[in-house]
Amino acid sequence: MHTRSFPVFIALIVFLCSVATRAAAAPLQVVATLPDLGALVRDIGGDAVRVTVLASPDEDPHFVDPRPSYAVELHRADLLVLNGLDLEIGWLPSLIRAARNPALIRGNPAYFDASEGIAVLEAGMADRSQGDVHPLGNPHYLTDLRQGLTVARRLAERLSQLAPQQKTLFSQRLAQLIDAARPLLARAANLRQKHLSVLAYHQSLSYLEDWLGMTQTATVEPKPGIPPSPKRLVELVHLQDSNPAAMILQEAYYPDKLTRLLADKLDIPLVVISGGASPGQSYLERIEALMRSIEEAAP
Amino acid sequence: MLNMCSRPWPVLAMALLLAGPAAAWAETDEELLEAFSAAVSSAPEQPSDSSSGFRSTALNLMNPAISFIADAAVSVGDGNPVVDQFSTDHDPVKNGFTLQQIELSVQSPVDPYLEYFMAMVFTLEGFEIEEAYGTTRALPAGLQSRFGKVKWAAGRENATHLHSWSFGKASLLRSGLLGAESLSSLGVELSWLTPLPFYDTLQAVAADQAAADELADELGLAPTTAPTGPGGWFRRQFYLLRNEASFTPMDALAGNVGVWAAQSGPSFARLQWLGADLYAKWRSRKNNEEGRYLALTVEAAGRRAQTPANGKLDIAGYELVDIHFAQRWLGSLRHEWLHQRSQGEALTQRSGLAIAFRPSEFSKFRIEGFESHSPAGHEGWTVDLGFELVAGAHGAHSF
Repeated sequence: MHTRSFPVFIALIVFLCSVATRAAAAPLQVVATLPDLGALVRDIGGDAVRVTVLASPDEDPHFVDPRPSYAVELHRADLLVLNGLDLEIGWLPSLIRAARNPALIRGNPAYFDASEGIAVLEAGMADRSQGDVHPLGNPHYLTDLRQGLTVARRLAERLSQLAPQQKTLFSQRLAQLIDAARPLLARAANLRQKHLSVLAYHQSLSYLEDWLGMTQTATVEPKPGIPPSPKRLVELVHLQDSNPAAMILQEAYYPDKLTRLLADKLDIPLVVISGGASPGQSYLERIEALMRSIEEAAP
Repeated sequence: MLNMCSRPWPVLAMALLLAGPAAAWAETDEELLEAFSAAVSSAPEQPSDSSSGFRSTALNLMNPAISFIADAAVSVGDGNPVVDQFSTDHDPVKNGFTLQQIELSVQSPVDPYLEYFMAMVFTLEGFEIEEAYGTTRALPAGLQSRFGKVKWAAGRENATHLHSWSFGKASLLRSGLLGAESLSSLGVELSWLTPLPFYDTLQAVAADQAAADELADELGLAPTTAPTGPGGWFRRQFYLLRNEASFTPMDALAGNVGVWAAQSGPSFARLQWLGADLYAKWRSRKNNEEGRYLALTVEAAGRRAQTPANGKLDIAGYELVDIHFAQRWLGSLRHEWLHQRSQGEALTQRSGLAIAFRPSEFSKFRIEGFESHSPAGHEGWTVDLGFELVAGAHGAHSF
């Protein structure tokens, strides 16, 4: 009996190994809500992941169209990577509901809220008389490389949890990412010495300013989510006399007609930064481009 | 049976295979952590558990998302009754002020398996539960179920709430064919996200036919003897089937196409509906344009009452164009028609133009004007100035 069952056993082992190999070879299906998160997943996951990014860099992440095709991607996802802190509150919950993927529930391994572990700025008591504020804190942390690396480390752990056979790969790629970030951290230290004052369009650059030692004199928007009026521009012109800014910083998805006018009036550069990593761009390339634009505009 | 205990070598072999990557992780882990610590050493410190930020996070996660949405309007018009004839209870139709409704909505996960949504509507006359239902979160194979009082997906507009409309008045399709309070009732819906490469869902609804009965009563249909005997209960319910598919021909353009059919039980004469709808949205992908878009919605439906005297098909539809033409500004054009073939071929048409201004994401002012043409050839007009205030949670809307 034992002699006859041995070939069956071998065949079973071979079959199981082939199934395991195929499973190991299949990339993890990851959906990232924002371009920067998608870039981080690609940086860490390499060929072991297939990443779909929902928002494009030219799209305001507060107002992304919840297209039904995104629900299909979420339905098939092994992992959802979201920014959190309510940044996607206006569009992601309805997509998750439409996706019918039981794994995408907070607390499950397939649900990765990148903001967990972030040192959140501007959290606390707020109400809407202060504009379209985020009660859980400022959610725009991905322009700070230090926060990006925090996300990368947790992401490597989570990917390893979901695809343990690729743990070495994720570990190596995380190490490479951290190593490649060193020159940028050194450049950041140089920028910090300049103590730049900046005028931001939206209250979205607090983390970047904290990292690069910049002081924000004001925002062009009078309150978060409230577009500037001509009266606001006059206020900012007067503010420049008492508290001068070296440049205006704004994301590319915000309208720039008034800010170009303001920059001309104040005779300071307008630095338009991308809303996130472009398709194919790594997270560090995106941060490097952001830093370069500030360095070039700095006096 | 294989005796694994007496032959442990396959188990050992598998264990050795799996141990390889883990060992490699352990070798690099310490170096990695050291490098990482150096890299992020200057990052701001984590808030402690006692900080207000942590407390507000915890409170926000545990509490349901609650919002109040108030819609009101002031109207002027020439008093042509054609507009009043096909209006819902929440439309601003009289000359003067109308509190259309105050919606209180509550949404929260119940447990890992269910989510709860409730929308209660208050008016000066009283209140009603507009929707209150549970949604499953963990059914397999792309299945999902909703159960409770639901605005069923009889087209696009029927399933939506007043605050998500481009106009303050319901369309003639809804008020003329689906009833003043829309097709909503207690029941259960099972839907399936099909495994096609694009978004495609099939929805099946079995519900109490209270809304259909109310509509049949409004239409003046005579009550009939309810079916009894085996299966009688099943024949007394309202049933709806819908298929909805999406398309994304290019990055800037996406949309949905839906077809649906419904049938009420024979408490009155049996009512049958057939409908189709299309939604297409082009959104600018250019930087600095703040998501400007152009959206087209087309919806049409027919309804037939199964009586010898009143069996003709009434049809209605509308075409709606929304243009987000500037930051905070939305323009809308709607043309709608209701052809009551059962009422002597009466044709009612209405055209509307609306301009909405949003000072922020949580308030809206809208001016809209309608011109109506009644079957008797009369013309009428109304102008409404409406406003909307949203307090509380930031709700997410579907596409």
